[in-house]
Amino acid sequence: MDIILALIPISIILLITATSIFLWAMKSGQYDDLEGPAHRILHDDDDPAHKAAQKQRADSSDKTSDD
Amino acid sequence: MNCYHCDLPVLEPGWDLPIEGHTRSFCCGGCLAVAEHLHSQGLTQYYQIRQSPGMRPDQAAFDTDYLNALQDKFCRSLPDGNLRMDLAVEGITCGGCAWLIEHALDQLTGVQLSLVNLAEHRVLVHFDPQQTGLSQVLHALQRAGYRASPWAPSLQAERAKRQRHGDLKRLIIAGIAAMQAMMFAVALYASQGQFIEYRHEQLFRWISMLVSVPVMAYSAVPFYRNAYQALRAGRVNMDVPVSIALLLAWSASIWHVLSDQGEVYFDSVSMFAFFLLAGRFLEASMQRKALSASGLDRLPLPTLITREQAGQRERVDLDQIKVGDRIIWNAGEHLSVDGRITEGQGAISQALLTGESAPLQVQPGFTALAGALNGANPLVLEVTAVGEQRAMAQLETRSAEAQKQRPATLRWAERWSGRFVAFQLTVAGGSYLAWLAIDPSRAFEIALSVLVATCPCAFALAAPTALAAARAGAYRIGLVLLSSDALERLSRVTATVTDKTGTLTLGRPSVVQTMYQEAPQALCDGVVAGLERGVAHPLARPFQSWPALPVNEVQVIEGQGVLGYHQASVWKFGSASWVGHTAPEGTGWLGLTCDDRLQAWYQLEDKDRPGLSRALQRLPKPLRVLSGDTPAAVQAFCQRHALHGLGGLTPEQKLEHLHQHDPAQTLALGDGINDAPLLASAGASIALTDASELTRAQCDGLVIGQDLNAVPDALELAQKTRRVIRQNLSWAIGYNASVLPLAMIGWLPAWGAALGMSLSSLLVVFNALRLRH
Repeated sequence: MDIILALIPISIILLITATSIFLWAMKSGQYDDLEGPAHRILHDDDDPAHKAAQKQRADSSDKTSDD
Repeated sequence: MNCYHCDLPVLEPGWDLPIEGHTRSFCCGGCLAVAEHLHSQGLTQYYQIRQSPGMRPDQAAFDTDYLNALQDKFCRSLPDGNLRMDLAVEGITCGGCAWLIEHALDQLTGVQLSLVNLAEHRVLVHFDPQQTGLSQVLHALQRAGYRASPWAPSLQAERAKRQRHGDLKRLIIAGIAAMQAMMFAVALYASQGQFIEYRHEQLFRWISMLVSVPVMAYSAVPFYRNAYQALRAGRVNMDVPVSIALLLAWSASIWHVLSDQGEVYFDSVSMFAFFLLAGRFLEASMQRKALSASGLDRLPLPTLITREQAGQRERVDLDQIKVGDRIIWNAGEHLSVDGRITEGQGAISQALLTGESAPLQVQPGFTALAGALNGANPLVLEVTAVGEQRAMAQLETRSAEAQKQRPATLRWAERWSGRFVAFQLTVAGGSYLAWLAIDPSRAFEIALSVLVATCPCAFALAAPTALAAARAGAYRIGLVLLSSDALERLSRVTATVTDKTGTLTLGRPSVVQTMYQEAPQALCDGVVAGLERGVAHPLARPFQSWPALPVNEVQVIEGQGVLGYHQASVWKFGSASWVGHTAPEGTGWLGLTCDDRLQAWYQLEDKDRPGLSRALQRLPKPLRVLSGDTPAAVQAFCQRHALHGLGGLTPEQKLEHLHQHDPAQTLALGDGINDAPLLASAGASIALTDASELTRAQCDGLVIGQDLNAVPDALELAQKTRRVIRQNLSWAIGYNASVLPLAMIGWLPAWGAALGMSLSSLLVVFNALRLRH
């Protein structure tokens, strides 16, 4: 049972680590919007139509800068 | 058939666009333009991923001077030379909007970063000022169907944000610590000192004491502070019993650890603090939502005024305007100073100021007051009052005074908390004394277990959780609760006073009745729309959305009407006397003639809000209409709805009428600046969507839709909240009372007390959650 004398301090250290990670996450604004990320993950950024339009725009802006 | 973009019914076919192989129909050119734009940018995926329809877009023109002034004021420089800007965006309805906005902005040259905050309806943009600017960003958003304006937090919002961060930290730390304390406590409870070595038991007791320190020394600090403030002011609030229970149970447990005897309650103490903090956090987040919905969370946008000096016109900030300056009051602008008209004539609307629904014809010599809206022509004014001297500022001070005199409500739970503390301390003290006589060695232990058994956990959660859930419920039915005691106030009203223009009605003229004579309807409507197309008069507005026929040489006859040529005939549209025919019975008729032959009549009136008659039936009676509109207009309105009402009232007279009947139990509804004192001094007050800023600041709730039924719905919700709070309090008191005898005779084990307390709290929370729907 003496193992508990080692395990408890370890659990306390983990506890402190978890709390500081949380405080860091909050400070960096990760808790400011609790709704958006849940939606954002559902939407596909590789939509072919969007990619094509972006490419077209990039091409046309290249052309104008060449002129 | 409904519009593909905004889902409103398509009244007039013809706006069609093929998208990905299907022909989609739209309700108006605005929606079509947005869809066309999205199609060309490859963003039509938006229509698949959105969960709710878009906002019907409007195509407001941008004022470049104004935008430059905004950019200087609202953008912050970043170290890499880019500018950072926060925008408040209207029309964000779901996650699809976030996707669309971010993609639409990313496509803009010079935009480095765009991030939508879906919870607060805001967008953060980083952009390179060399390549793009505020106007391009706003334009891109407008083309995607959103209306945006720069945003900076007001002092109130900054404070609320700091508070939220603090609350969240306290909550999470209490949560983590409580779970740890629980873990050790379970071992202690389960063993009852039998299956565990003495030194391990000692270790557990010390460790659970250690983990409870951050809870007591950090998380629970707001309770002590509130309790201290209340006691110093000679009051008792909920935090007094909470603090007493926390501190007594904690210090007793510490003493038990040090003296190596008796039970420890570190887990109960930490859980208690965690539950309470969670309840309050929920309530505070709902209040924060109210703050942003009311518009009080943002710094006001600057007001630019066109000043004429030595023949030069320049646009300057409001605070540079002095009495005596010559300023230009442009069409469609709200006036921010008081001023006498020196040149020009036209129609202005003072609806927000006086409640008068009809536009007012003004000429040189007329003094216009801040808050008035210029409808037709640019006017030249000489400024007569700015800032505190304006007529509006006097209304502001009067409202502030009225608000101060408003009777304070005793918050539901606080009414009980004083009695509760007295009861708790008497019983604990009584048991202590009794046990001193019976068995002095157990006296302290028993007194402590009585305190824990009567721990006000469920009691303290009863009201805050119900209020938080009810706030969410109110939001759902279309009402934002602004003041912290709004529900208490709404639950007590027994009478109603209400404004007319803009409150019971929509506050702007619309066509309510038409009569066609010779020409077909489509021709008449088309000509009217063509005549009114470029006219800035407020009465021209409702016709401008109709499909127009070509009309040439349009002439506006000030105060009379418009005339123009369509297919070689002269068409006149205007007042009955001007077109030369007798109008049908009633007010607000405009006649249309073709070569002086009568073609049609259109009746313009300030239309009733949708669902008005149902709402009127459900509002508390007696109901009185107090309006600043002309007595005749008020009479006509009241007769139609079988109401009692008075017209032509000044803000002071409205207040007098309020005070004739028990003002503390009267609900006031209003929207205009002239309603502000009324709303401020009534027992409960609700403002309508388009209410002026001053009015919003005075009221308890704000209706966010068009339908007035949100008000009676909210009154019902307030009643229901009151019932739920009463149930919760009865349960908490009943439970505590029933375990009390067990604790007093020493039969209640510590784990039993802790378990019962937690279950009782959960029950209270679940009961409160019923209010969300």
